[in-house]
Amino acid sequence: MSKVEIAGLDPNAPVLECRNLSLSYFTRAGEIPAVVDFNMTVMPGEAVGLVGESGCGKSTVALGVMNYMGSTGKVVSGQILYKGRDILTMSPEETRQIRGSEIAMVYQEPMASLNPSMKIANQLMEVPLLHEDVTREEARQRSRDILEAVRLPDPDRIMNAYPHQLSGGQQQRVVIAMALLSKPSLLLLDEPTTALDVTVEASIVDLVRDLAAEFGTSMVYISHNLGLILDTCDRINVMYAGEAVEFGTVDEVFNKMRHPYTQGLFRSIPLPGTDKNASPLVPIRGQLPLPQDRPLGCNFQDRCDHYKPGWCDQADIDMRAVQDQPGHLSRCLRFNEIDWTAPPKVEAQAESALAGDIVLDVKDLKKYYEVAANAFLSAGERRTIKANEEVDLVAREAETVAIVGESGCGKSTLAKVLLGLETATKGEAKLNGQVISNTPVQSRAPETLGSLQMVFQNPFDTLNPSQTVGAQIIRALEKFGIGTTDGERESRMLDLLDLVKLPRDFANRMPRQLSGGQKQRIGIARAFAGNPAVVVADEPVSALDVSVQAAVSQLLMDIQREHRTTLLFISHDLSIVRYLSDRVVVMYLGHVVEQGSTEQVFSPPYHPYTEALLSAVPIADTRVKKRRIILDGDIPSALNPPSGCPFQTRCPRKAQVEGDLCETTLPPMRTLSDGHQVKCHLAQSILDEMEAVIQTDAITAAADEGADLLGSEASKPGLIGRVRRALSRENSEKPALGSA
Amino acid sequence: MLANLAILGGTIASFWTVWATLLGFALLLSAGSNVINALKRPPFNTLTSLALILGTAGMVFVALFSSPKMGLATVWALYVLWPVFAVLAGVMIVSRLFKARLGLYGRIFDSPIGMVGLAICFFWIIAALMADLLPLYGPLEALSKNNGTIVQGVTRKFKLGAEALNGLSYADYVRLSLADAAEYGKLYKSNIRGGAPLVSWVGDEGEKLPAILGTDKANRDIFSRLIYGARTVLPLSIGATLVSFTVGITLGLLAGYRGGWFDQVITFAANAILAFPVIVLFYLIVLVGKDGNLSRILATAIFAFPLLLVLAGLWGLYSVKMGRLIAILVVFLPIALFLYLRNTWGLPDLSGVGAWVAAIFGGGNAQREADIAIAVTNFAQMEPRMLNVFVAVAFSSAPGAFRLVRGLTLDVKDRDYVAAAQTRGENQFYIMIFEILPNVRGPLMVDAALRIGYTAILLGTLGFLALGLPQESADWGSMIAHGRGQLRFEPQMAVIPALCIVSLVLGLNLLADTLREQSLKD
Repeated sequence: MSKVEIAGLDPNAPVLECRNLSLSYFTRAGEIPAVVDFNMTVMPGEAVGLVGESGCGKSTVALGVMNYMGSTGKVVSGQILYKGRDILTMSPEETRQIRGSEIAMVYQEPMASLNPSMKIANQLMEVPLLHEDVTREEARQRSRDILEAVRLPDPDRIMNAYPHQLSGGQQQRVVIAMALLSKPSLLLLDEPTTALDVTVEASIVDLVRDLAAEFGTSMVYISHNLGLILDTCDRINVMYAGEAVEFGTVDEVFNKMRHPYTQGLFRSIPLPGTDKNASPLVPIRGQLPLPQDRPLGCNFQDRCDHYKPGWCDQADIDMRAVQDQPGHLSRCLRFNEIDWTAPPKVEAQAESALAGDIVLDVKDLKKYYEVAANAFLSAGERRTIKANEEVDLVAREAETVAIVGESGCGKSTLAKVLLGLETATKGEAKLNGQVISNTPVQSRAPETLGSLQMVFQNPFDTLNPSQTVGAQIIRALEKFGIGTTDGERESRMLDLLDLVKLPRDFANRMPRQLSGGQKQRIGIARAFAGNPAVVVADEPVSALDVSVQAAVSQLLMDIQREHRTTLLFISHDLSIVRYLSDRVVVMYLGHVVEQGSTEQVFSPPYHPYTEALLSAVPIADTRVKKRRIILDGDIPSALNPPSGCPFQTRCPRKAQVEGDLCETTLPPMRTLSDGHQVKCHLAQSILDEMEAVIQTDAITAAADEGADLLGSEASKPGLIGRVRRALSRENSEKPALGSA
Repeated sequence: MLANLAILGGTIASFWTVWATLLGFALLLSAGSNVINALKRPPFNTLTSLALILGTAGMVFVALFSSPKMGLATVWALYVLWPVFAVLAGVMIVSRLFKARLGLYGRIFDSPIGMVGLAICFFWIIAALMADLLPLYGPLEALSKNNGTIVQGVTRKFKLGAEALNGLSYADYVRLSLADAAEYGKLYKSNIRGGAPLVSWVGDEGEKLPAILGTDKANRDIFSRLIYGARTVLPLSIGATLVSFTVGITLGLLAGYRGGWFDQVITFAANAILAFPVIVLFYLIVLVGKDGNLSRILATAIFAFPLLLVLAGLWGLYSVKMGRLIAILVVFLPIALFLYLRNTWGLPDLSGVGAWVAAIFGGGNAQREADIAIAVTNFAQMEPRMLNVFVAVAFSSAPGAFRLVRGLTLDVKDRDYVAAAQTRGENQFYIMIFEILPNVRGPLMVDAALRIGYTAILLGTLGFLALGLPQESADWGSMIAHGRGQLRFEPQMAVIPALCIVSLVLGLNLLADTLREQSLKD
């Protein structure tokens, strides 16, 4: 079978062009316009980013380009030109040929994209066998080659593996390999790294960028993360409520944005060098309108500070070119009138709260899980998962302590032990001087329960779907022994709704009637029901949209400041950690590898793991220069942790330590300066010479020889190859703890 | 012989065409299918609608006239059952009007298939509730050959062959009804117009309706028994399913939530019961335990679960408000324990109380006294043979419910709201019953609807094997067993009760499918 004949590649002709594209879903509720009047061109070799919040239609565009809208979706008007031919007029057989061979797609969930019952080799070989006239041997050889190209260690082993035997990062690499196998001209990536850890995300983004350059593939990169778009794309399309609102080069959109929504997005994410007291985040007020409730005129009018009645709400608005910037389009009527350099209207700056006495004191805490090697009749051999090893930390009143690390580092286990869902194997944790680490939650007194509460990560999971919001808060009050009568508790519940700035009539609503941000507010209200001394917040905003994130984290900070609560902030997002927290604890594989004040942790000297984490965080600011440190492989299994230093299998600085110290000896906790501790064997001289990973000042980057040296070294294939071979054994182990 | 074959063919054809028409309508109305969408486009749309109209008309024609006797029987049946259809239509229309406010139940009305399923289920429920108000004979009432007078307690010897049938045979009925149809029709109308209540009309001697489907070998009206049969089948299958679900829910929640050895033991036991042939199990329970002790032991175990589930729920909910818990228990416990003991070991024995009450209220009338004594002695107690069947059916379907609940619990117990409940110190019963159970209700309801259908089939099987329920009972399974000998001559005796089971199961299946689909939307 040969590929569908399509005009040869002209470097000046776009690979993909969407012209006035409108896509709708037809449901029982009628027509839901998902995308309206969408225009986009993708030139050969170019990467175009689609950015926007959930529900803005970015994934629908990708599905439309694949002409794969399902039974309810339909193209209402417009054209999708692939190399000059309209995809919508092609026969089903032609579209089938184009999919996979000319246009390939990478989805968010790698595990859901791979067939769990087929070996990787067979899944990969399908692509050339289906689209090109090749023999099985040739297909196998090409599959193996492509696995090497996506930098997977030991391709032969992976060829014979089933998807579940690979880690998430490896799976996503296989999916990307599959997408690239027939050398497509266009690659659609729909949030390809959202389900992965930061360090893995950084390596995948790196890979995608290099591969696109190598193969000359055009890309459409869909993401909600502006930092990732900056790292990967040439041009960017900002979408809001089904429309593209701004289109231009990365530089234009990031630095000279001409749409209030784009500006709002940038103002609601924390940038390096800022903190919660000096420059609070500016959330976009209001909510995304539902597709059927979109107003006439500008969709953003209800949330816009520059909205002019009688002007913005008169008729549908077209994209217009910004003067003296050809190719930079905006869907704002007033972009010439707005002062884009004006600083945001900031509410009164808050004073940083002074930390008080020690509230929470964790000393040498260990948590091991015993798992039976044999499931039934569980006698015999047992294995131990060392989820927490030697955790020491102290948190003071009104302080925010961030616990940072990737999945499997033991941060959630620590939270479970503190909350009493598990009891410590060894060591102790004290809450206000009282040992709580050995008291399971059922045996805790109501006051203790109320004074140590948790805010959960997933807003769609945090509330019981079958109880009203008010009933859930009242139940918490009952359990914490607050109020003596039902009436008292009712009024306290309404106060709590006021506290999280939700209308009082939300008490009678069911959770499904609330948006993600509102649910998370209820979760916060419930956690603060018992006037807690300590609140553990497990990634409380990571599942929310950017504009909502700012509002919810701001609220959390306000309540904390008011109640002088200690906040344990568990996160993997270092930019928000830097912004919110007073002190930072970095964990890796059950160990605290570094801790200190935010200032100390975010500036050199670093623990090599912290250094890599910092480098992996995507930052949405073109002025910021980063050293690139790509960690290879995955976090080892806690069932079978490496000997010596837990980080030695991935450490890029291992070569700088003499002998086999890293492999054999667990490094001691070293105090570098007042309160700044690092668990590393690196000599003091090397630590002293370390340079900052994130440089907010562009000038310092050029002057810095050492940093460049390491950065370029890490990207050399030779070194990476060597490290990778050394790691391949560990890579075969998947992290067994999952999110624990 | 040939005539009988024609009757058999006509019976089957007419009933199946009626159902096929209903199903065809439902299918055509349900949007979303590509085939149907393709048929909607010109030039197919005119052809389709033409075919639809002609086909429907043809089917109705076949149903009515392929066998004139069956056609007439259908008309009679519709006439007798019109109050049921009126109530059914009322319920459906009111539900349809207020569907937006009725939650998941209301959303059934978004699907034509669901509406058909619901209508079938409602039909049987309403028919069972209204049976006494319809112009029907009693389920055990024997008719004389001369239609219209009732001969109590007459059971005539059965001889083979249609002509030799005692009582009113199907052929008799046809002769009689064809001749008298017009006259009866006038009678019906004059009575209704005259405002005479249906009940009194039934009671009037000499004005009985013909036995629409003939009588069985004990000379009882088959049609009346079919309608009364719903009174046996529905409560038994719904009740047994509910009890088996409480067993499954209690054990499934515990096994899924706690895990460990408890889970392993219970799962093993459930698998063992599932692996055991059901019919053999019934023989064991019903025949081996003929003295009733085996089923009583089983009842002791099975009926304990609803009680334990409610107690655990109350404890979970009110452990923070002890006063309220005690107040509720004071009312609830005595009633629950009384019902529990009455239906397991027949305790306390009420025969003494019965004699005493009869002496006071009997008024010297021996018959009346005996009636009162029996009523009081059997108060709130299942009849022993009914208990056998109930327990057997509940026991055999509990493992299925258990496995479902356990699986759902394993899925839900890792949700954040469960963790939130744990961190505020809720006890395990609260978490299981108020955090987990309400959030797995969707799949449970679907499974319950299906399982009521399976239980109806099981009851049919039991009735057919003459296990369990008394022989004269009007349940559909027993009626099939009665009719199977005459299948060649009087096919409707066995076929129509079978179709009743089919229709109920079909209705429940359609309903379950729709529930599943509708609960998945949004």
